[in-house]
Amino acid sequence: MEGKLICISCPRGCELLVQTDERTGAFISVEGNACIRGSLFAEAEVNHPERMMTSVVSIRGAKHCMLPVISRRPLPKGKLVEAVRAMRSITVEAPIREGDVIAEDIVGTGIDVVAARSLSCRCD
Amino acid sequence: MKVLETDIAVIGSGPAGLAAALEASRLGKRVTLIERSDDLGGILQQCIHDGFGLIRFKKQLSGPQYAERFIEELKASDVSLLMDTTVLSIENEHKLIRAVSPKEGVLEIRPGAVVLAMGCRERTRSQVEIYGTRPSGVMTAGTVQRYINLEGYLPGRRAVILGSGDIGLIMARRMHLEGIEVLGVYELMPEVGGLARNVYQCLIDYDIPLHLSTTVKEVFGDERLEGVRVVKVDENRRPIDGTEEDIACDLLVLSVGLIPENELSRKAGVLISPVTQGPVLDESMMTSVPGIFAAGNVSIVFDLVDYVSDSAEAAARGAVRYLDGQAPSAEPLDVILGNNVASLLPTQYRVDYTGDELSFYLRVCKMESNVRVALRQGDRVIKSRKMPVVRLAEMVALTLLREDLALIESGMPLDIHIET
Ligand SMILES: Cc1cc2nc3c(=O)[nH]c(=O)nc-3n(C[C@H](O)[C@H](O)[C@H](O)COP(=O)(O)OP(=O)(O)OC[C@H]3O[C@@H](n4cnc5c(N)ncnc54)[C@H](O)[C@@H]3O)c2cc1C
Ligand code: SF4
Repeated sequence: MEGKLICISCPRGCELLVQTDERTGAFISVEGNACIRGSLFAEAEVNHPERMMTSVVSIRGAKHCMLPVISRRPLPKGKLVEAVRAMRSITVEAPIREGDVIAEDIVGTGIDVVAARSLSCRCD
Repeated sequence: MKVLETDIAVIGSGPAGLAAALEASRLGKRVTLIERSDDLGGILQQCIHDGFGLIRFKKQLSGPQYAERFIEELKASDVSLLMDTTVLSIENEHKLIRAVSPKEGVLEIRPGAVVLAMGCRERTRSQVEIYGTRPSGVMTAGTVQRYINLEGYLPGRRAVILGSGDIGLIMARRMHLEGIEVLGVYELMPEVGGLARNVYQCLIDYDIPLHLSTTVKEVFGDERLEGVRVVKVDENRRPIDGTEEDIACDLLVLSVGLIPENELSRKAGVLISPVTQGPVLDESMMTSVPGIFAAGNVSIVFDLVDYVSDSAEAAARGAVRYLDGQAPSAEPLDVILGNNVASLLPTQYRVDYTGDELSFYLRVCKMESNVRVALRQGDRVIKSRKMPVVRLAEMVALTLLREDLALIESGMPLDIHIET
């Protein structure tokens, strides 16, 4: 079967034409990618689509009340909504350094979520 | 009143201000970085999605992560920081800055040169034609981004987005993930304003409908927004009678474009360019007022933060050369906008420029495939670059190295084209 995708690995956004197995839906080949990352993306997008998760958690004792966070690696796409929801119940205490682990093994994906910035104590 | 002396004053601490301050400091100058808010990083701190820094760091960072790399370096540098400090005016050419902060009251800064890095503003309701009442619940995409990502507050339950620029697309996804029902993105033009990859990962991923050639004509509601009336438009962007549809919603998000923040620049007597809508700049990123430079989104609305940082380092090097008495002084040559070039930075060039490289940034008027971007002087090509496709949403950078710059002669203007 033939399908169209847009590569999201860089701002250029190449339009990809993918061939997949009629029966299993598995990836066969891709055209239209300007670089190797496009073919890696197409294969992943067909066989096991994934996305980075970015969201915020609550933080106490800092000048802001929200701390931006990011998953260390892309999550299976189907887990994204659940993962963002899980962030809502998290509250951390300042100080936080960028890269500190905020949640381990998020929604059973084996992937950690880390702080995307540092936030010191309000008093510092 | 406190009076401070410095070599270079940088106004604004977004990615442009951070990069300019660091570059000037690396080159041995005393730098004072002035920021109105209590946070470094500018708008990046609320852009929590990933996709920043691919050119510079070969990685897709989130906005705060991109900022953090510069902030760490800044903290280790000897740049002086003035936080919570708003610049009110730049006077006496570039020699006097008046600022105010809650802690210090009124301040005077006396710099040898100034780099403007105040970023851009979002267009608001008053800059698009929408009729009806003035209820609360009509706000820009950046304001919604700020509420959700910095203040942890959801400004509505059912949202309609007007405009398909990247910030609008990114906010469609963000609102959806936070449980706000996003009813659709409406775009006046027949083409989407943002990048294809944002349509894919922000709208298609979540089945959020995109309606092209459609606009919001009217809003309803007394205190709080209750709904909007959308209408299809023809090729001349005129509403088509009978295509109206009313949609119940409590949030209308405007993503209808950005414009450079020009208030301070204008007051300082800097000429504003009708092409970039920011200051007229030369090859060193210097404005029409000698000693005042500009970088980042205050100079032209960039699409990639990597280019914002690059432009800021170029402006800092220009300011350092100016202080060292090495600023070029030849008559500037104009750079003329040729076929399919909508806007360009910089638009002036001096042949005695001594920098090692020079980047031109341009935006096109329409999408074209298999083109060559060419900078010419008369019938000589100074530099060209092949591109498989050029699009409205994407800026094109053309970087000239020493050997390319050596080809430019005095007297004749330069022109830049998209050649098919
Ligand atoms: C709402 C919004 C969302 C955006 N989202 C994205 C995105 O998702 N991806 C992307 O690539 N680009 C995005 N952009 C574009 C983004 O602005 C640039 O990529 C980049 O942040 C511009 O950097 P800058 O340093 O020029 O400006 P900014 O980051 O805007 O920084 C300007 C700084 O100057 C300070 N300032 C202004 N006036 C004064 C004054 N008088 N005195 C003292 N300080 C002052 C401000 O407080 C601010 O900190 C967005 C822009 C906006 C407005
Ligand atoms: S294929 Fe390569 S060039 Fe094209 S969008 Fe993907 S990463 Fe970018």
